[in-house]
Parts: sequence; C-alpha cells; structure tokens
Amino acid sequence: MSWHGRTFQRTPRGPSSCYVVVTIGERWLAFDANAVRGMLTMQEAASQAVFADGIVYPPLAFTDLLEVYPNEDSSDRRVLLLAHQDRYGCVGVDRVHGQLACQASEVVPLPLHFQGAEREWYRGMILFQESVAVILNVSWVLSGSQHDYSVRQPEWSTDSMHGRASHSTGEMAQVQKC
Amino acid sequence: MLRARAGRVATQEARAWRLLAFTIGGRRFAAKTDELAGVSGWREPISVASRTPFVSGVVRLGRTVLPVWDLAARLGLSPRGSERLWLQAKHTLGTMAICIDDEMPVIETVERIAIRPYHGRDVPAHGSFSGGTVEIPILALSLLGSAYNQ
Repeated sequence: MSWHGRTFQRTPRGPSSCYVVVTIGERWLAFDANAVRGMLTMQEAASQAVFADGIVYPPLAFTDLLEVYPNEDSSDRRVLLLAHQDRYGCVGVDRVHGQLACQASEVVPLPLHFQGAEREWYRGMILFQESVAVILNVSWVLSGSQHDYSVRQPEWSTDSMHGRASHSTGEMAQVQKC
Repeated sequence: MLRARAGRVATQEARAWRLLAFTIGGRRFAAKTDELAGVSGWREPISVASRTPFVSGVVRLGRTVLPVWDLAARLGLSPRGSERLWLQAKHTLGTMAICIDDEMPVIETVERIAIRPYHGRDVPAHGSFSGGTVEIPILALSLLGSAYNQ
C-alpha cells in the first residue's frame, strides 16, 4: 500500500526535521518520521499486535493516557508501526494527513504554562494546515512497550528513500521519506 | 519640562487605573490594560492532553500559538455566546489566552480612590471596584495558575 498522505515542504533552508501528521479522535499529533517504520490498513493489521519483518509491534497504551479516542467509523483508519532504539509498537490512527518537513526553528516549543507530566510527552508543536499538531516524544510513547525479542533487524530503513514493512498476510506497506 | 510632564502622567496613573471590563458566564471582571496583549475574535481551541490544572489546550491566532488558561472552568462558569472572544493576558510564563463572553469588553478608567481590596478568594486580584451593587474584581492575571489559586 502506498503512503497515503502528501508531503508538505516548507522553506528548505538549514537542517530540517520530518514529521508524520495524524489525527486520533479530535487530536492532531505528529510523529518523528524517522520513528515511523510502516503503515498498515486495519485489514492488514488484523490482530492487536502486528508482526512485520520478524518484529513484533505490540499495541501502545499512550492513547489512554492522552485521552484520545479513535473514531472506529473512520474509513481512513491506519496502523502506524513505530520503532525507536530497541523498542517497537503500533498505534491505530483515524487518518494520516501526510508528512511535513520543517526547520527546527519552525517547531513551536510547548508553552511553559504546561507544567505537568505533559512536558515529557511532547517535543513541541507544529503549525499544520489550519491547526496545530503536537509532536509526540517517541521515547515516551514507546517507553511502555516491550523490548522486541527478535534479533532480526528490518531489511529496510527510513533513512533510505523508501521503507517497507511486510505483514504476515504478505501485504506491503510503504513509507516514503520526506 | 519633560520631567514635569512625565511627573503629571505618573500622578494621573496613580490617581486612576485604566481597566478592560468584560464578562465570563455573565459575571463581570476587569483587568488592567497594561496586563493585556489584546483581544481576539473566536477561534476554536485545540485540545492538548495535560496534567496542568486548567491548561488543556492551545489556540492558534495566525502563526501564533497561545496556551489556553481556562478561567471559566476555574470559576465553575460557562462562557456565553457563539462568537466568544479571547483575552490575551500577559503572564510571567508568556502570553496566554482566556475565553470570555461574546459581549464586547469596555475600557473603563477607575479612580484609584474607588478601588478597594477584593473580598473574594476565588481569583487573585489587585483589588475591586463597585459596579452598582456588584463587586468587580480586578484580576491579577500574572498570578493565574500560581499555587495560590490551584
């Protein structure tokens, strides 16, 4: 399955970061694109934990903490496969809006008025279309997940132009880098 | 001469406060104009999960993103009107947005002598003044969110 969203490029000056922007319920969230290993349709991710390329991606519980409730009726629902260091997990999202490449200076810091545990949850915010997407801290998102027990490393990487994640059904998801 | 003019202005400042009077859920409040960055038309707030009391979202005003401090919730009030307004309040942590009723705020000049201590304990206040039979608190916006009122 090809990458569903579009890539939005802002002024390409200086070092930039790339984010995958999604919605879960009413919330706009952004993941560091380097941590997104693939994307599956709900049919492809038939079971709770996703097994792809020899790696188990258990479902992540952070959505409960953030009180984000997926819209089960959305026809655009997808499952994102996330990986960071040696941790893996998957999360269902209502819609993937696309990827956004922006400079570090375009990331809006979380206002200092947010003084609770949320300072660990977020890495800042980015303006996206008419809204604001909150950048999730992938280390925190995956902190509750289990270490993967597989020794096999994925054959692809998002460092390359295209990443591929295979599901046990043989369906393929493709992630295009910004 | 300049020094004398500056002195007169300072004396006037001491004699009267310029306030912006507004309502939240129909209840009247005021704030010192020099503690405000502006008033904006309604934009839907964007919910952000948070563990900080009364800070649970942001509002985007053009390319500016302001945290929303929910004063109405703090006071158990519900802002009125479909086209509510955002009060941009200066705060030690940065400007923040406070939702107020859609009733247009009014600038008032209140003589210093008419300002009394605020007797309520629900909000931090510089003082209060009389609005007919009602005591109108002059909010100390920079103290919202401090340990005093959480």
